[in-house]
Amino acid sequence: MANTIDLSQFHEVFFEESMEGLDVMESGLLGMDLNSPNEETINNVFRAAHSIKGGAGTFGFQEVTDYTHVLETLLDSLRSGELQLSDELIQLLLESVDFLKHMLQECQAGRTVSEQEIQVQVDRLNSFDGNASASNSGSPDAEPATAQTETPAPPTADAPWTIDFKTTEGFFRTGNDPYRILRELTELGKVNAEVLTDKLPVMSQLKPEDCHLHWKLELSNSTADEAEIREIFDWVIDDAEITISRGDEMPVKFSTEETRDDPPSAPNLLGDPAETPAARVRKEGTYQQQTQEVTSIRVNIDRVDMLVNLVGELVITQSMISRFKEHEATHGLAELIRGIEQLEENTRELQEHTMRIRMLPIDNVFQRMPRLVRDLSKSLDKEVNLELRGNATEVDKTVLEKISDPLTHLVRNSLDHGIETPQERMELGKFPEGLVEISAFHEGGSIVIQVKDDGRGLNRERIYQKAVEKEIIEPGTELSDSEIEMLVFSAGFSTATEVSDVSGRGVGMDVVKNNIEQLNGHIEVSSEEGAGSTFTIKLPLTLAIIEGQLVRVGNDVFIVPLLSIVKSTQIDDEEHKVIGGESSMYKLEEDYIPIVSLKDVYRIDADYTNATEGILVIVDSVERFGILVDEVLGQQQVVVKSLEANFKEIPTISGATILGDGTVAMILDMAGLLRESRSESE
Amino acid sequence: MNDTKRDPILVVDDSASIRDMVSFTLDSAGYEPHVSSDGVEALEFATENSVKAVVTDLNMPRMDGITLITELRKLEHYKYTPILVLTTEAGIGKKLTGKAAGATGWIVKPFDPEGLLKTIRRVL
Repeated sequence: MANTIDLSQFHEVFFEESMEGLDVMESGLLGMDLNSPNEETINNVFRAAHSIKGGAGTFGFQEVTDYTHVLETLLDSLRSGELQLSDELIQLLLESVDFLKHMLQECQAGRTVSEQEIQVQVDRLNSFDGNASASNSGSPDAEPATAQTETPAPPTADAPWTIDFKTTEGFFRTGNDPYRILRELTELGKVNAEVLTDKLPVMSQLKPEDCHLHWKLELSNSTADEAEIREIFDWVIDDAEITISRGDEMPVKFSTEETRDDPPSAPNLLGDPAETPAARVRKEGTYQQQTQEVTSIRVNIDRVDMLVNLVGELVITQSMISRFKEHEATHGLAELIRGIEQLEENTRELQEHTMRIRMLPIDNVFQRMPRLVRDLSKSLDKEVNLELRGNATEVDKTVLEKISDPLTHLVRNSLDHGIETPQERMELGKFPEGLVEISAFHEGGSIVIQVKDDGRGLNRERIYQKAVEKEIIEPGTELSDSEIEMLVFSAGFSTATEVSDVSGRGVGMDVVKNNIEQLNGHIEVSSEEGAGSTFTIKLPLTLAIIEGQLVRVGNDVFIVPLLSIVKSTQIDDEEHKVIGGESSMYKLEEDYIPIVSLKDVYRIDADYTNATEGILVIVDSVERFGILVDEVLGQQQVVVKSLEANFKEIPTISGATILGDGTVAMILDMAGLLRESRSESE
Repeated sequence: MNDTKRDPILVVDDSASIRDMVSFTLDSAGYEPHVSSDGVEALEFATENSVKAVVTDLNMPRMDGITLITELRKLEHYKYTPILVLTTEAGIGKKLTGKAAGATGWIVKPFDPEGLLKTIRRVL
């Protein structure tokens, strides 16, 4: 029952919605026009803070409540116009949003933020612009004690209480009922009630909606004090005349006059009363996100993954059965074949819809970008406009989580290296404000994310020189423009020493490329000197299923993620070169790329003995390389099963899958394969 | 729970955690909670259905609690229905504004399940 309800079961939802609230606050603050702040936006920011405060209090995170209260106070003086909106204030509010996020994360992890740390932040808010009054006065909901009448000296004990309770006509109109009040009073002791009907009009004038009753009540055998009795009448003090007394003492009239010690502060919290609800609805039409939430439920991700996994199994079983379509055993069994086809269709749809459960709009990541751009352009003294497109594009939750860092890095890079300073831009005849455009869209079975800037573009000459200096390429190597541009993703191209603290933190573009490849994705850059660069990321829609290219080596079938394949080719002698008697290289256009022989990596038998007898599958990973196989088989969607979870981690394998004929095939990990073959040849 | 019909109660709050907590509490105490996340939605539900009591937050997007109460009281079948407001404001100001709009009483946040049920029992 009630007292055994464990509130911690609601914590997760609380944290989630609070994080959403913080996002609302952040984007509201970022979008605020200093000169004419939108009242509705301020209200939204306020409301988000208010909700966090309320929830934190209910779920026992007192320090969050206390801090949010101070923040709310500041927001309230902004809302009431007491405080002018300024860049500094926005900055302070943004930082407090960060701090609040930190506090919530700590709470979520079961830790606490130290009191000193909180105090520092509280002081910052309180001391803003001499607004030291934030402690209590003018607070949106300073907490005056309720029903503050001077308590009379303890009256003669045990004497019965006398209560005069005279309702006003409108008593029923607030949904109150004298009966319920009397019922509650009986819980405190023995009640004698005398009803006075002198105010009752004659029958012909009696309106059933009005209340005309007057009671004289006597409460005896009660240990209740006056406050307890008062509490019962608390809701109806405006709808009745109530006096409470005991023994011979003077009756105390109990009304709101005495308790109304809170001047109706910030009445705008409740909206303009003159405003019609319809008008308000129209005005708040921007709040579509809120309505979307109503039609959704929150489900633990484990349950979804379990479902995804089961559907994966079903897909495998289905493809096993499908093989019997051509089997002679089913020959002539038209109905069975129709059934198999139906199953195929249903499974595919079921799979598609199940995968969609894990999909979330990329907006979850995009909405962090305005803040990033704002902070960065400030510290770099640049002026940058950010445009986001395709916010509603949906991606798998895991992809979403893992794309955040690479995307952040790309945007940093664009601002740091791409966009010029306002002066430079003006000299070049460009607008002083640079433009960074991030867009997301679906293309085929993939999702494409682009980061485009109108900055200086990549300087191919410098890249080339640098690549030579870093010994990434041999001097004199002939490379196409796009190949030179791709050099920025090479390991060791950007090093910690020359990366400014903005774009760097010691992370180079090679890490970005790596991260994306771990998601079975792919990144490219195209650039025009003086006009800007575009980084294009292509990712699979989901990680649970990949488009795979089946390849055969001897008796084994392996899977290569289709997204990483550049082309497959047969090698002739001229294109093949053996270095140091061991490493095999293939001449791709003007470049030599390493050949990884699966036969050697896995020490298995293959049909080929020499590279020229096999087929080379050229893939693009950390760098381009070729995988030598016997035969290229079909392409199909494969359900990825984790090897770590079911067996153990193998460096060259990213997972396994079960093929239609029931055999297990390994999915090759491109980067791992290259690493492994290198270490072997050394 | 027994087979007797459970009392339906409409819970209105834009915060999912509070909504969950209130409806879970009501459910485990034998009531039949229905939830809405703002005034517009609640009004829609209330127009088409009948509940024994309404518990609503005040500060919500699209339509706030005060407007909701005013609108509910205009509906014939909600004229006398108990409506409780959930408020973080301990101050009497907000409570009175709620009362003026037609609220029956209030529940002050933060509240625990027990306090909530105690207040609900006052009106049912």
